Amino acid sequence: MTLERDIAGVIDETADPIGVDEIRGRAQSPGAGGGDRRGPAPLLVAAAVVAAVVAAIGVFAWWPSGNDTSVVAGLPDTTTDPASFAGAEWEQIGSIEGELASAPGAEERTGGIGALTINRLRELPSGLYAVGTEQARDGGFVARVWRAGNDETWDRLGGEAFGDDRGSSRTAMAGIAERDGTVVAAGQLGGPTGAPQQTEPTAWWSDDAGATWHAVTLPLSADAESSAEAGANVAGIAAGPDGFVVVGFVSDGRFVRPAAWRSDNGVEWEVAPFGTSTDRVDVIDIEVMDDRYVVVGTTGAYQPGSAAMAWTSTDGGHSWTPSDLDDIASTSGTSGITSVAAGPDGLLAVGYRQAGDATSVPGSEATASEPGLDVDHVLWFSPDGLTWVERAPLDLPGPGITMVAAGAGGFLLTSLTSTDDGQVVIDQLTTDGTDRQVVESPPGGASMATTGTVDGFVAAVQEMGPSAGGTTDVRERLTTRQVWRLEPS
Amino acid sequence: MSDQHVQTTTAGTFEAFCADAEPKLRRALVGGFGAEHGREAAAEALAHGWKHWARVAAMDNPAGYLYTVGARWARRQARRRRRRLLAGAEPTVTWGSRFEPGLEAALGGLSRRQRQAVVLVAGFGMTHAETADLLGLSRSSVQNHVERGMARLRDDLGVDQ
Repeated sequence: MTLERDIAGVIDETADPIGVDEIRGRAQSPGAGGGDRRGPAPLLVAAAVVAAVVAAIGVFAWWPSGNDTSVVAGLPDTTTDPASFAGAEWEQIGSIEGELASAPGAEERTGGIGALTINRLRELPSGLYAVGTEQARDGGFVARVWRAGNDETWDRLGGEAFGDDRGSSRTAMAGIAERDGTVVAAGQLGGPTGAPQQTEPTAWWSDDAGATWHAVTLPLSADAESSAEAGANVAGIAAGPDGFVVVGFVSDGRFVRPAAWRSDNGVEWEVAPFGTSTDRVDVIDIEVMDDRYVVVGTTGAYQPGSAAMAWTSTDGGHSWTPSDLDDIASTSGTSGITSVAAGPDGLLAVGYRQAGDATSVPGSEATASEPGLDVDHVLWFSPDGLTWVERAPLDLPGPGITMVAAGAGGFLLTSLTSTDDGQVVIDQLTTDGTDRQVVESPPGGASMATTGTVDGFVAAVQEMGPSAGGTTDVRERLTTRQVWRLEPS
Repeated sequence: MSDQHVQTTTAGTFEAFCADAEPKLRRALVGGFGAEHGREAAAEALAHGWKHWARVAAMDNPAGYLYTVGARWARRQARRRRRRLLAGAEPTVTWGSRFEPGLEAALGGLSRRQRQAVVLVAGFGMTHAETADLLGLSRSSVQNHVERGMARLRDDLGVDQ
């Protein structure tokens, strides 16, 4: 037992116990309460005392060299080495199960009833969340939020706050974020299936770690509010030091324009200035890099000259600074973004560029079935959201890479579709978006629904294929989504 | 009822919780993120628990929740530290351990999950179930991490047990 005793001794000699008085003092200091603050470390005096104690017993070698995973100083920093994923293993961390298909009477239903769509996977201070929709009996979609438990189970949250089980063809969930103990999910609610195609941008907030939820309809601008056909689509939500920001589009029945909303607390929301009344911007997503909110999207409605763009805000969405990712606007070609993720060293945006007047977007059926179209898959990297550089182009068959997630080993690029042999195309890039290598897909193949980060490691939600779950039952495949985590061996 | 009021009336409850949870959180986070960030992360997480005790106390697994809070804090600090190290000099202080020679390097060679599982289960005798609840893992994952981690430690250190 010498080795076990020494392991315990090393740990306890390294860090002194934390007393209740120290905890109280830390909690009562400005900005404390720690887990949900993004600013500099608090209580510098206390930190200095701790450092002095640690130094006095000579254990600085336990300081991690600074990446997401702990690496002892002096050892190779394997976390940014692409080879660190060479032997990586996918570990299943549970499955998300639909409920409508298993409800009473479900056996009488047909088609895709209960089919799950997972739009976002997010690791937040209060847990690991997924947001998406479930298909209802009338063919519409019902908003859903799930949270992972500690025994690989996923619990559906929210109850009636997300509406009843009557679906709408325009209901969708965009994302989820947390700040100061409040979790906020964002999406749009559509009217009943068959009703006029209007949508309400909506935020759902919970201040008890997802136990109870409250819905808030986000306000529309005065122009849009005056239109009987006004509606909005939500593209993403992020939480930063200056509150929550939601981005998307607003339609007044004639024009579709970019939109943003902001909130200090997730409960009270206001329209944030974003774009102009004449802009046509397809907003893709929003991320937070350090203390800066970064929105990415495509200008120009995919017409010649459409271009990938980014907008940054350092004041919680009150003002925005645009940045070009591409000079395509000066040509007759088009470029755009399909996904973005924030890693430890910067942001990586994934997109495409087309020469000439072709306007199909990679991932669409038209592009996939017309290999003659000249589509380049493009990566842009930015350390701050303001300046962007293009990384080495991707040479990929078919519709290509459409999702990016950031994890401990760098970025993971994932195709939404699988190859003929059932393998998903997954590439790993270093944290600065340079070197890349192919990563084996999770067991079973099938398609990937979304990717995210779990405990610092990249995770993926996967549709359950025949070889993944051993089932050929179409309904089970539609109503179950497996969640996997890629962990270096 | 405000969190502040609850802190006053349930201080004893928090102290009881802290007596049980503090060693687990500190050891898990120090094992995962090192001495500096790990202890600070545990203190930050517990301060978060104190500040929001009414909400945290009602959770099914408050220690597991606070572990997640602490781990997230530690990762943010690690990112900042990495930027500092890239910009300047890195401290080169040697280990002054009186324990098994090479143990610190061998522990550093494990994955973070392996190191945490080894520390909590092998080092401090926590059960697989307790460790799984704290770290948000399945019991089988904890068992795998302990077995692989201990095997690698013994191999690296050249010890039989």
